[in-house]
Amino acid sequence: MQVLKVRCRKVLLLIVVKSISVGFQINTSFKSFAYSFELWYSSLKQIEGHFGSGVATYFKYFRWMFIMNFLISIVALLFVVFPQLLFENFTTLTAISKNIWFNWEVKRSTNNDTFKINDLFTAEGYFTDTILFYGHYTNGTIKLISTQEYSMPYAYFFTTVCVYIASFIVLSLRMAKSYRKSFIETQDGLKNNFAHKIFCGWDYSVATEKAANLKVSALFHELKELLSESLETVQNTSCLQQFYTKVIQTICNIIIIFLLGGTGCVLWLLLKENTIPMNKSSANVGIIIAIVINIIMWLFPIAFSFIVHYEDYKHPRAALYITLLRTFLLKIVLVGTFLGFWLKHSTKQKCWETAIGQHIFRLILFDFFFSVVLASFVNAVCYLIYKNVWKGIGTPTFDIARYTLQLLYNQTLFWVGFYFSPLLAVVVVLKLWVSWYIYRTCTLKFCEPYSKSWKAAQTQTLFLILSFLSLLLVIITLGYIVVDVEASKCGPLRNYSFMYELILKGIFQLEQHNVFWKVLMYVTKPGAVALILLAMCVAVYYLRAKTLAQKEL
Amino acid sequence: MGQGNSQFSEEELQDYEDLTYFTKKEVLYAHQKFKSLAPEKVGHNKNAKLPMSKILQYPELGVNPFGDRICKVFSSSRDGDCTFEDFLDMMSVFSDNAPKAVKAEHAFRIFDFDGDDMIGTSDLQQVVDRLIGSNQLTEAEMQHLIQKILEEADLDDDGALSFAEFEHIIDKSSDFASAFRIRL
Repeated sequence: MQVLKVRCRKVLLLIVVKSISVGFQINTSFKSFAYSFELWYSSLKQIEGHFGSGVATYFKYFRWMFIMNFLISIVALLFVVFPQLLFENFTTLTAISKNIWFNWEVKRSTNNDTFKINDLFTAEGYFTDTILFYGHYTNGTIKLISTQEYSMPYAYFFTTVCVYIASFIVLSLRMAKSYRKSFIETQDGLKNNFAHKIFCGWDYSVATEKAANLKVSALFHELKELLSESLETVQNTSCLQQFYTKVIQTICNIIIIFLLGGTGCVLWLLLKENTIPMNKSSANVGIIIAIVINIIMWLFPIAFSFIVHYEDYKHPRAALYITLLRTFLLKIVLVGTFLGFWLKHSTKQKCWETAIGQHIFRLILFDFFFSVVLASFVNAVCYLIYKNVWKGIGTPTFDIARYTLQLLYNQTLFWVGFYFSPLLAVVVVLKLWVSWYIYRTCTLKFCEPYSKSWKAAQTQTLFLILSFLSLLLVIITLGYIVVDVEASKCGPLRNYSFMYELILKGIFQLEQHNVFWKVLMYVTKPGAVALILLAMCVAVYYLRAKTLAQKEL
Repeated sequence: MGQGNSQFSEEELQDYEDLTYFTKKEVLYAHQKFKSLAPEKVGHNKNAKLPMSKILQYPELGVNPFGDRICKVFSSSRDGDCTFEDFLDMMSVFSDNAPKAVKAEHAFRIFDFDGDDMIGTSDLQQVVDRLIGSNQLTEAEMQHLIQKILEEADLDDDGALSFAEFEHIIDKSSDFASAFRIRL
């Protein structure tokens, strides 16, 4: 009897424990669901554990870009694409319908071209006159709700402009914050090499044995290097030696400039050669050019890192930054030449805005095939060769600089293209979404962590500065397009010969007694402008004096 | 939120939220992690005390050369054994939201092996030894290294680093806050 009682109690206890644990399981699965709101949390943790915070910085930057593009795509969908869809697919019935709210019926859409599979890659043919591109958007107003009007030209123009301004502000704030954190607040920190290596050397987020061993040996080698440098006492490099290094560096820089200029010229000629017979379908040309650009972007960075070996920079970090800067310049030259050519030669085309949108679309698509799919495939092959055939090849390392510039290139293209194709935001979001999983898997499976430690915070700042610069350049270019390039007879702004006239018309439409109008008139008076400028100068002077005074303290 | 099913009452969670840099959700998540170190113990007693060897099974702590030091600093009984509250405290200090000063204070205590509130030469030597693992520096190199560190950081030339001096150095490092961090 006693035994039975005990057993009974045990069973009861077991049931209680089980139910608690089941309850806890449900609870925790809910928790982890709520947790997944921090996007890609577990992947980030995994990457951090395997590779340390340096590589994780790249992935965090990636995630940030993804979220930003996601928000942009929502805005674009809500304010531009959705109204356009409504306009296309529904038509207003009679104006004096009894039902005020739902006085519209479904309209049949018309598209002359039939869909072909290769249109997916060229974005031409069927896609030319779809919601993807500028040319398709209407210049009319949408009156679905009888008393309210929704003017597509204004919606299109101001939505895109707001997106650019918002991303500009966000990016500059982030850059300023990061710059302050990693450069200004730590201004005198560079002297404390040893103390920093010792006290801040360990990356606490490292979680695997392999990564920890790598970290230990990296730290050891860096300490050895630092020690031998400081023990050797400054060996004076001879004047001749210094002169020699300078000459080599100058020559290399000249070579690079010629290379970049040459690339620009060749690309220009290539574009010209292929587009002179205008009757030829430009789709194939577009594909060829997209492929050429991607190949250039593969080969040149390799050449740059080859050249930098001969330049004999004192610090490996300097060499890295120089290579980064050169690669960045290469990308600017490529995109710039491309855009310049199309602005010069295709503005006579029927709908050049759509044409530019299509080019950008192709570039983004082929960038995906080359830099995401193909690069990951090459990584996998290298890894397999290393594992099974030949150890000499070495495992592929995760090259943060290359990956970040790739991301930046993609983002620059997107910023250029967004004005001509609002749905590009969705395309880019999808691309980044897929890329994330490919990159993550590829990195965790096939890549080795960097053997050198990576100054995450400062590099992050550099990347932010570069993205800021590229956005600035894009905005300047778009500003030029809006003000100085004649708009074609398609798209939402077809009623205006220049795009900026929309703004002027918008402002002149305001009635004279409108408060905004009054304020605007008042602010643009010469006296007011002078006053504002003066106030700004005083503020700048004051802030400068203050910083100087604080420096002296 | 279904928190009624958890081992914590609403008030306890509120207290934890107030006392750490975590939200309630994160506190529960931390407890899940703590429980996974020793499910049989923590299942009965949510605040069970786990021996240091168990705590060191946490991946980030296990491979950390200062893992045992971290446990000792955060252990309320000072022997490295941690209750859930100690563990929560630890994770909270290592979280993103903890201010730099708090992180610096704990880093100081981790590096202060002999507990005399100063990082002296013997402490420095131990730190370096742990950081380079099985690799060896020569005696001369070690001496030079320690001398260099003191040159850089020891402002009052007493041969040891006080907390103020340590914090001053840490403040100038852009990477400390991002390095002294463990994702929950």
